[in-house]
Amino acid sequence: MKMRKNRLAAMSLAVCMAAAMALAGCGKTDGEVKEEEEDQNLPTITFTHGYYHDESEWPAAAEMRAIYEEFAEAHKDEFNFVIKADEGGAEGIYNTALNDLSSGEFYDIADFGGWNIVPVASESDAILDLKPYLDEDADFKDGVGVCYDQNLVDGKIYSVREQIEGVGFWYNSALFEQAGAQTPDQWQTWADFDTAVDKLVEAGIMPFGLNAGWPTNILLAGYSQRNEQSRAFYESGATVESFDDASFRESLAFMQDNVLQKIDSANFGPGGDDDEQYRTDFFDGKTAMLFNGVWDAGGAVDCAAGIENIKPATFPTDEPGKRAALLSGGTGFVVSNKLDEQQTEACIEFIKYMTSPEIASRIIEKGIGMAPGTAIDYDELLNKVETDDAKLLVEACRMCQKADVQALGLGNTFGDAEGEIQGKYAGLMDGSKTPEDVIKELDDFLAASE
Amino acid sequence: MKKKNSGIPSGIFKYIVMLFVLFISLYPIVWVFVSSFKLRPGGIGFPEEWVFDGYITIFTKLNIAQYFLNSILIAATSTAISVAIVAMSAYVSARMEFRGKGLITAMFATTLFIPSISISFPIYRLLGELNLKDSRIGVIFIYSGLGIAVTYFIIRSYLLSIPKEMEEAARMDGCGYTATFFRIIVPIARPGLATAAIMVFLNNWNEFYFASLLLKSKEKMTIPALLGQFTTAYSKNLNGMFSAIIVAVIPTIIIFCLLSETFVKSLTAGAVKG
Amino acid sequence: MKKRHRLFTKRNGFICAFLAPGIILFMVIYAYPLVNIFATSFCRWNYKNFQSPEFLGWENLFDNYIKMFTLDANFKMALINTVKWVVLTMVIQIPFTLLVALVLAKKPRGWKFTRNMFIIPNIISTAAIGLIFLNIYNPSRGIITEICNMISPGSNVNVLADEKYAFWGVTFAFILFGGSSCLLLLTQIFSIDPGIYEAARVDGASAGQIDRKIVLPLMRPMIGTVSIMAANYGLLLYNEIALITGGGPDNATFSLSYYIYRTALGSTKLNFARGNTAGVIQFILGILLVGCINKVFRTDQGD
Repeated sequence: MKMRKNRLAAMSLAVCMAAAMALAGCGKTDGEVKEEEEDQNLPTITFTHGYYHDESEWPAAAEMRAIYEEFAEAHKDEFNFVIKADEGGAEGIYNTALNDLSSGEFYDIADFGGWNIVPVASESDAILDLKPYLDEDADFKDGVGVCYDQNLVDGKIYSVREQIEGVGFWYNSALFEQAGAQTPDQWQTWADFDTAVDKLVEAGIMPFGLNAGWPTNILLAGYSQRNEQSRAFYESGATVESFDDASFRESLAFMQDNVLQKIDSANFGPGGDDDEQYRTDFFDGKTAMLFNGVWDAGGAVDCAAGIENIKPATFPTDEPGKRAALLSGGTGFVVSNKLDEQQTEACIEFIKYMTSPEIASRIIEKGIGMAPGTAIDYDELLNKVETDDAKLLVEACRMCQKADVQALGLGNTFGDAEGEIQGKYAGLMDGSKTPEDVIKELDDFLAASE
Repeated sequence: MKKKNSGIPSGIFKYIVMLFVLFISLYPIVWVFVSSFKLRPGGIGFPEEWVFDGYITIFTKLNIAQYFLNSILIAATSTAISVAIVAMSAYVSARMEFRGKGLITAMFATTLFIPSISISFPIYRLLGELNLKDSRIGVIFIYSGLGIAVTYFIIRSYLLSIPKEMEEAARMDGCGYTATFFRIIVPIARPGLATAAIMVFLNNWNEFYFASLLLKSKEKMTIPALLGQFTTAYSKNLNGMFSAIIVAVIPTIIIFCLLSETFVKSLTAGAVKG
Repeated sequence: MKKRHRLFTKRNGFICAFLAPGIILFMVIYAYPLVNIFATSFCRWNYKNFQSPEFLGWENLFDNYIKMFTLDANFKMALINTVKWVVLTMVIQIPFTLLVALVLAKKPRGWKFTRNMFIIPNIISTAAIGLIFLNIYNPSRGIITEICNMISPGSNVNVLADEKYAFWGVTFAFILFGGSSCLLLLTQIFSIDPGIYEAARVDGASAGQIDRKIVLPLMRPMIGTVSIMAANYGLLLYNEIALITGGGPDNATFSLSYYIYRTALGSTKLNFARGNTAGVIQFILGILLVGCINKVFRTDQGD
């Protein structure tokens, strides 16, 4: 009896393994068969992206895939453009690239969706410098807009993106009216911000919800664009050696006195990816301002606050009438430098296609996000789109593009220090830390991470 | 009949403890279950309107049957391999004397403390060279190795409690070493093996890091990837995620409850026979 | 009779054959990373020389260690927190799980159901645990804040934004969930020969005495094993921190694992050398832990 049981166990184990191998093997042969159908003579390029979502979950993903497919279809007689979606999203692409780099490999071309692989990939000499291609084609250069300057490092540009994160903020005009406060579109300087916040607090309305992360970082970054001196310090963020700077100290004091201490602890979340309280409160009509990017126009659909009350805005500066916005390109398309000439040309063709005005308009129209192109006709778009939230998105994009000062987001400029900075907000809020303390702790962090 | 445990306090105390355990174990899952029907999950209280969108998407649009199949295949196979290999090593280390015995235990113990990221690069390279990058076999291979320390300690601890007389009796009967192992020890150690297998299976079922790194095509993904379907670059669909959590957990609970019945029988029967 | 000095005895062959698969598995998967962690902790290895770590040289051998211990406040916090969590696991989770196991072993009504349900928190994916506890600790709608406000109105406790409370917030996200350990302990209890119970009862022992003098000692090795597993979980604590607090507030809930992740992968500088240095420390702590537990519980000796 025991023998039979053992034999049975051993056999079922063997069957399991055989089944596993069969299934795994099946998967492989399917792939091979498909490749044989494609023409062997044409160069093949594999493009990996992170828009794996089902259409019902995120329509934008389906739209992006359609855009990619149309390119592949249009060029199918010139080269095989194989499109792969990584189910781990942009983060999955980044992790895989890191692992690949450790053995000296890299994707043919991939969209990193903001995850910055450039420093490590360029140091490993694995990726292509796009600057020569941008310099020789003026339309291409226009199409990438701010990405050109933002991604220029040591005379090289390793990545451009077909979307950028345009960030200003949103406000609820009904609540402003209720408090008798001046609405952001009429603000001339940051002093007007302070006045408006005080009026809102007097009227019993929570001016904004924040947390130890994203929205507070946006406000800090926006405030940092107020004058030349502060802008200069902010721009040096990637190579900053000490946070002991007068303008930075002022910014921290502003955050402590004029921002964090105007709200109560129930409206200050712990931060982190899952903390969306500050957004939901705004769209429920409980707070007057929301510090988030242009894409959140989508959040206004069917919201309790009433979409007719939601309006976009950009930041004031200390120079009356001048406006500031955050436009972050970050890392998008990265191309391997180990491809042959035909493959490389195909990749460049693809990037030009993605940053062309037609595709850019489509991206904004379909509510996918904001495109960096400087040649986009926003008026035309405004007439084209029909839904309210699409109009909000177009308007927000236009305001960001028109801003006099355009800067990177806090994370893009300060890198790792962003995580440290956002940890200090709670201390500033309850008064247990002064700006001086914060500066000292940040400097300690810089010394330790050398 | 057994005399009832001394006095009433002791009796009620038992039930208090059990109620507490039930509360902390069930509250999370019940809360997730109720919230998965809310449009915006969170907070206490019943949903104002019952929303089934998450579940509908999971069962119609996403290929959940495929995910389940993959998860079962990978988890079951890697569990079987892992338990088999470790049981052999644990047996030798627990019941026989030889030079370097402590070294074996030390070897397994060291695998406990290595961070996953340190393993990630070499594994990735190794699988790349074996051409197993986007394959389930590669994942099975990794999973077989992942939990060996815990499995080793469990099985070894269980084997240590079997009296030495068993082997001596078997040698008297003329059994070789292999026969002793398969015919005598394994049946007695079955509860320990089963428990270890359950632990490893549950661990592998929920493993996410290596699965997301090593499985790229849609038809090969496992259950933990289901949650990622509801996270876009800009927001999370909490309703969808909660539905996914329930769908991922309920079968596991059911399987576990069913399996526990079968090994309870061997538990009560597995006491050392004379 | 077999000659004891021949190397290729049947016995040795058997031992080798049975050990071989385990050793091979270890070699393939763990041997290289193990050596790598130690070796690269003496190197400079970040995004600048990603494919080729650079040995620091014999004069600067311990540079990484010195820098990490003296300059890095986050590492100090991580180390202290991790030690705290390991101790808490031993002091809270093991006794609690043991109590539950002893209670369930008496088989009161519904014990099977309780035993099965106790495992549930261990098998829900950690992403779920993260979401669940984020909600429990929510400053405006979570039950913790509500309960605190009922007890002392207006206190408006914000668990995850307060450095002191956040630590305990993370602790209670895992410390009571000993379902799988309980399962192991129960397995061990049920394998005790009922004959022993009979004998003890005939001798006049009470239920409490049986528990203390007979059951517990017989379970000693398994308690040791379970302690190792639980302490190890505390040592390697990562998911709860990443999902619930993100290391905050202000890096107050860093653990060693989380520190390693943040220094190596979660940083733009990809400082793998520093991450592996912390990994070595984690490793040493782990070995010490296992050694101590084995000594205390004498898990190596069967009874």
